[in-house]
Amino acid sequence: MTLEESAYRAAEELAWLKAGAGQPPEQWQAHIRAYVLARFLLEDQGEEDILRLAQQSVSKLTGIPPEQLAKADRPSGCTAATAVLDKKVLLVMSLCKALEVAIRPEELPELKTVPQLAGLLRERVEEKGRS
Amino acid sequence: MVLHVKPIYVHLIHRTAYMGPCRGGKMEQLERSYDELMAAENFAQMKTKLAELYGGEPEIHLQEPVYLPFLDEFIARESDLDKVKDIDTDVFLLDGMMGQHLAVNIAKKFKKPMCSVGCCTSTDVTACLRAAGLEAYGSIDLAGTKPILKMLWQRKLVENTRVLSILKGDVCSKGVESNVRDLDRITNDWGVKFKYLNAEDFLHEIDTLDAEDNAKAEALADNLIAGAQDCYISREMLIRSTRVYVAVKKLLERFDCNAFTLPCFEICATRRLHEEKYTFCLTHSLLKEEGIPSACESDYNALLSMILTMAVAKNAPHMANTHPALPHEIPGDVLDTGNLIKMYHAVPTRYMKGRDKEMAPYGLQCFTEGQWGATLRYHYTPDIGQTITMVRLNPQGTKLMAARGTIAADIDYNTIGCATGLLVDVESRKKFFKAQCNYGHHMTWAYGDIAEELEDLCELLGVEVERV
Repeated sequence: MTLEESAYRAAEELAWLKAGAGQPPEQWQAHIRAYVLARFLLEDQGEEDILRLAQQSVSKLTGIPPEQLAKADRPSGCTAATAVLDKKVLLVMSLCKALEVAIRPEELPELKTVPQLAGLLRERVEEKGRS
Repeated sequence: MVLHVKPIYVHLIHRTAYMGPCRGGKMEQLERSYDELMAAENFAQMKTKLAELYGGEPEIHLQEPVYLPFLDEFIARESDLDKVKDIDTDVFLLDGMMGQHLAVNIAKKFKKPMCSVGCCTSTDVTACLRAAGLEAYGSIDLAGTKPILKMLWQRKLVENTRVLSILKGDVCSKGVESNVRDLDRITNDWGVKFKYLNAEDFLHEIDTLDAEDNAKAEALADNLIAGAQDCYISREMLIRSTRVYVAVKKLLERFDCNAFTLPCFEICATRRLHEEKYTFCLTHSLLKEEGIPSACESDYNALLSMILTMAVAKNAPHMANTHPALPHEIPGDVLDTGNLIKMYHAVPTRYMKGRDKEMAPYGLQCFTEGQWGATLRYHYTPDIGQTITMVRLNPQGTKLMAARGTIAADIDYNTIGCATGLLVDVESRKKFFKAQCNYGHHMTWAYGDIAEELEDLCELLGVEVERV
């Protein structure tokens, strides 16, 4: 997938998600998953762990093999962000902005898998719909 | 004894998104929500790493970790500092981004040691606090905090030592003239406290054990006999010695003490031991096995050296008369390297290699020709070639000798009296003896080379280590 293709694909998924709150949970989750993969420039190989997906994405972009990535991916200078965490945080921020919901910072570390992320976002969207 | 550690994670939170110095990245990476989400992830990772590092360390108690956001208004609010307050915190452990200002203010407010991690916090904070006369340590990374916290735990162990010292005629025994005399200074500098009890009261305690205490002494004797590889003391005489141990344990509990010493020479001269047929050697051995430093002959230097050694090596060490071996003292089948040191005293233990190690094989032998006075015996033969560190504090209480050697031979395992011990090969017998003349004759020792760890601990106590 090229950068352009992934951006286009990600935008399509976001558009579906903005309108798709009423759709069955399995579909919601599938589109969240598709968005994550598009954002990370990955093909679907069944991985559900968000950090592992982020590692695969960073590995693909940098050429650093996954087994060496943990050692190499360290925050440097005045930031406290590793490349992998940066991907996760930006991913969640983009979804929250698009869906106009919020995730509390302390909830983020517990969102380890795509299904968990999809579930919490759907919950927030439904709460928003009720208020 | 545990070291209570309060972990703190600090993260600089920018209230709005802006670029500038130290503000690289795209605008979405500069938003407040990005900082807050990243802080949450990093805090979670810190907690995970700390659990991995310290999960198997029973001496380190991690208190509830706290996350402190540090807004870009750069103010340390009292309400934020109060969030790190906890019960009996011994040291703060701070990691994060731009944690310096909060770290310094926390340390100054609570007057507890601050261990800070990473660039640039560790060096910045530590230099500032040390210049202000406060205790601080910097660590390159989270893993690097382990030796620091271990050292602070060792110091806490030392600081919480309370010695029960039996007196007969003087504070210091005439058998140890190289003793530290200024015990008040040891209390002030090390925190070690001393409680004194007259020998007559001590002996009375042994004489007046009740039926329950006697039963304990008998059970202990039976247990020792059952586990011994060889036993050259009768059950009746062994019980006379185990009764001493039971009495000392009672006194330690009564006076809230966790270390012990007594002047065997002066008490021996009362002839009470001759009449009642016991010595104190077995008691010293058994106390050390339980983690209670216990030194012969009211040798405070040896006791203090033992306190340090046991804190570092977590062992139950031997303490010994130590002197260059004379030709007739070297067995015929032992190679005389010209640098052999003889170490002997009838107070080995079954856990000299570590109190958490498997119990070593042992024997039981008499101290006296009258076939009483129980002592443990240990064969050093299997340990030949192993490195040891011999340790002793100087009479001024300002320097610690730490000498390295290797075990060369087992001597006098079966010999009645105090002669049981080992020969140790040192680099230079002449250098060893010359140094020893500034310290005294009794050395406590540990398996392995523990000089560096002793140096780290002694630095905290204001004691210089002389490596020999």
